[in-house]
Parts: sequence; C-alpha cells; structure tokens
Amino acid sequence: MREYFTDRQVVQFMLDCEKAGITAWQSNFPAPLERQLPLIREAGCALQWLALADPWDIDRSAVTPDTIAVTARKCAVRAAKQKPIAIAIRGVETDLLFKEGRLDVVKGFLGAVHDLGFPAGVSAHNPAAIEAMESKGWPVDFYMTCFYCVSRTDEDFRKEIGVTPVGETYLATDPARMCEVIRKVSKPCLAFKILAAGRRCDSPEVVRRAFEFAFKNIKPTDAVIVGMFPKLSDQIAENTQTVRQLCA
Amino acid sequence: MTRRKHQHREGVNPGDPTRRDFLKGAAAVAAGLMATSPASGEVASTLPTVPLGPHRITRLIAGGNPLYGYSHFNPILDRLMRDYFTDERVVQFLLDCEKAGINTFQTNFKERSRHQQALIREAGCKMHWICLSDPWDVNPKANTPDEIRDATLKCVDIAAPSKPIGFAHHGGGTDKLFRAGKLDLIKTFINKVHDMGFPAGISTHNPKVVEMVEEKGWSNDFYMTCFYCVTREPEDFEKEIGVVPVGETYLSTDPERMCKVVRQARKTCLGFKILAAGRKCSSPEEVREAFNFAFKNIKPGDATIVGMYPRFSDQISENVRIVRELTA
Repeated sequence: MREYFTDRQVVQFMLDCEKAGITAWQSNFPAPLERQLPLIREAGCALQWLALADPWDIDRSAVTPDTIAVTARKCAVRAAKQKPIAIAIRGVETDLLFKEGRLDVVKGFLGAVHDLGFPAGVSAHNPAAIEAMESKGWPVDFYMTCFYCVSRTDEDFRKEIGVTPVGETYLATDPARMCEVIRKVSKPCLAFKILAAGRRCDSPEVVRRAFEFAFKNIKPTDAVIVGMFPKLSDQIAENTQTVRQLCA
Repeated sequence: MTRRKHQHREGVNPGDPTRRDFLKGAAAVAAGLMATSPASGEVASTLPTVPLGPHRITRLIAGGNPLYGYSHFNPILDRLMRDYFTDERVVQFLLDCEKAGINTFQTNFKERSRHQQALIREAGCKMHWICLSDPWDVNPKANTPDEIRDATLKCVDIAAPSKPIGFAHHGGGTDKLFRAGKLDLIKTFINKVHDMGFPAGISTHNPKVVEMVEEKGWSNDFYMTCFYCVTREPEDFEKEIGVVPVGETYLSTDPERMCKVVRQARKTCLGFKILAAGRKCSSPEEVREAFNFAFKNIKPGDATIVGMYPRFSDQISENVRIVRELTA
C-alpha cells in the first residue's frame, strides 16, 4: 500500500474521490502527509479533512495515560495548523484510557481541541467506551465508531471466546453491538472498518452487503469512513455507486 | 478496503509470449537477480533431509500457495501474489530455492502450474516435486464426495507425466470427505497412486483425520498436516468459541493439537502453514519462533512446507538460514 500510494497517487486519489462525489477524508498526520497536504491543496482539491490525533505520529512511546494526554494535545495543535474541519482522538488511545479508568484524559483533549476552535471527536473500537463517554455528558461533537473491536488483548479474547486467535481477528458479532450504541448516541457517528479491513471483500456482493448493513444500522445523520486501495479496481467509483443507491 | 474484480488468468492465451520469448526473458531476469539477490551467491549445501519413499526431501519444502495466488487472506493479496509470480519469477524462485539448499517444492496442478512445469525443468531446476491432487483444479464445481473423489483421481492422471515424487490428497477435499463420513473414498486415491508407482499422501487441516487414518492402518506413505484448522465451518466456530469470526481465522491452540497427532503418527508428516499464512510474520523474531516451535514439535523424520513471497525481502535465504540453525 505504501508503495502504491506515492505522493502523486495520494493527490490523484483525493481528486478522484472529490470528482466521484465524496466531500471529506479522514487520516492521522504521519510525516508524509506534511509533504502531501500542500500538494493536495495545490492540485485544487477542496476535500474537507478530519484529522485523527494519533500520538504515535510524534512519539511511539506514548502509551501511558499521562504521555497520551500530552502527545494527543500536541497532535491536535500540529494538525490545527493545517486547517482540518475537526479533530478526533484516536481509538487505540480511547480504548486504552477507558480500560485504565482514565477517560478524564479524553475530556482534557476535547477541551484542548475546542480551545483551538475545532469540533472535537472521539474515536473508539469498544462500544463500552462510547457508552461511558455518553453517560458523562461531555461536549463531544462526534464519534468515530469502529465496527469491530480490534483493540482486544489476548486476555480479552481468552475471556470472551476461550482462546487467543493469531493475528488481528474480527468477530462477526461486533458490528451489531457497536451499531446498537451508535443508534442510542445523539451525536453524529462516523462508522469505520465496515468492510473489516478487507475481510469482507470477497466479492462485489459481499462488499455491497457490508455497506447495506452499515447504512441500515447507523442513524440517518451518521456517515461511514472507508479506506480504499484502488490499485486493482476502481473502488472509489464502486463504493460511491453503492452508497448513492443505498442512500437514495 | 480491498476486493477482487479481475479474475485470475488461467493457462496461456493466444497473445501470451512464446516459450522462446519466455526463455529469453528468464535469462534476463536471472541476470538481473544474480546481480542483486542475496540468494544468488554460491550454491549452498542441501538442507538436512528426511526420506519420502525412495527419495530424500529437505526439511524445508517450498510451498506453492503464493506462486498461484492463494494468500489465505483476501482477494487483493491473492491478485498481488499472482501478478508478482510471473512464469519467469516462478522459475527463478525455484532456482533460488534450489541454490539455497531446498530440494523439494509442493504445489497443486492448475493450468498455470502445468504450463510452468516444463519451463522449470528447461531452466535446469532439479527439485523434487510433490503434487497436491486438488479436485478443484479439474472440476471447480466438485462438491459431493463422489465428485471430489473422481476429480482427485483425474488430477493424478493429468499430473503423473510430470513426474512428481509423490501425490497428496488435497486437505480441503480430505476434510470435506471426513465431514461427510466418506473418508474411505481416499483409499481409492491411495491405491491408484500406488498402482502408478508413486508414494501417496493425505493432506488435512483436521488432526482427527490423521488419528482416524492411523487407527485404520491405511497404506498411505505420508501426511501433510496443517498447523491450523482452516476448514472450520461457521457452526464449528460457534460450537468451539461461541462466535463466528470474519475472514480466515487462525486459533493459537491449533498447532499444539496437530503436533500432538503428528508425533503419534507412524508416517512422515509434512507440517504446513507453520507461519499461519503470514500471520506470524510481524518480525524476524516471530518467524524464527514459529519455525522453532515447528521443529521442536514435529518428529525428527518430518519436514515443513513453507510458502514464500520474496517480494520485499529474501525470504528464501532467511528461512533456509533459520532451518539450518534449528536442524543443525
């Protein structure tokens, strides 16, 4: 994927998305994007950018609540200079903070993003984290909700299914659980990994069914975030066509 | 997001390069690779071997899945593998394996593989070939036990002139027959393969198959034993872990179970998917650990089959080095 998405391809991809009718894109802010963002804008692309504050973009050792608190804010400040339309804290961190009972760090992040003048979002893979956040009534503007809980640890798997799988594993029961929470939440939810990171792409029918499930189970005010790798087929056209039909 | 749109090109189309074009191309590719590939230095000594019928096979066998786009992940990786493994690269890959000390490769026998057999031999590759009799190579619609048996037997007829050193009954077919209570149909395969003068093997992903065949005392010569049971149906997962996973899913408890059976089996076992079809390849340490587990848990007379996709690193050299160290 990295080899395919050269600077030129990234720009072309954005232009193609825009041309196909997509108005927003979402990403973290890794080093190559610093170089690519001006190229995207110079190419005349007016897509709106949702920035994901990913602490690992600036410090791979940020894995404790306190270091996450500092680096996530730094990420927000760094992203803010590039004029995103909103900034969300990454799901890996939210899940970890939830597990450690330190969601207060997320609250601090929301305040920092609001102070910078942007809508603030929270990404999560764990529906329980979203529920916990909602119950607190914090000023979250939107959620990014993963259809699959990819942040389960070995212990979590052992507890839930009695065995540890090898590699990143997706459970079929996850989307329904997350969608239940999405429907209860009043804020907009941007659902992601609806295709299980390529695991639900065996045929055009499988892809379509995954989109169909998503749009049937999120609110009418919600949206989906879908990664695309159009090296072998025109996934942008395929996906926009599916979404047009389902949302018509 | 990934998905399949284009279908796998099977066989040779009228517009494809001729064999002469191919040989010219292979020479050019070989020359290029000789200059850059770490595997292209001196010919290494053959890895430690174990017997298979009258032959001796290295304890690391090159697996065929990547060569023909069976990634066991998703259609896009299938396609990337197929695109990478052109005829020239398949030949070069096997020459590199041979040079590194691997003396055996294992593949099924679909059109592309049939077409390449001659090219591989013309390029001077002397590796032994173990043929996986894959019923779906000759009848993609084979579904009933009888259809699976018939197509598997036909596969043997088609592949025999290419002189494999053994035939194995395809694991997917074996597991389907086992599930249908028709494992006995495999005896027809064993008998036919023996009648034609070849060692006969049974490939499976399910340890229970090996247990049952051992108990029955069939005359097969070897097993191909998958470290992970990749033929679980959704209802099997429901029963075992209470939920159905999305996509091909590998359970960490499987290798122990299969290895226990492998050690109990009297016949030679060729352990495969020891790297969980790429899921145990996050770091060189993880790869080494997987090999280490395999060689510690199979018998000294057993071997491993490992698929390689040397697009980003010289996996042939890396794996050969590990196996040399572990089997020294």
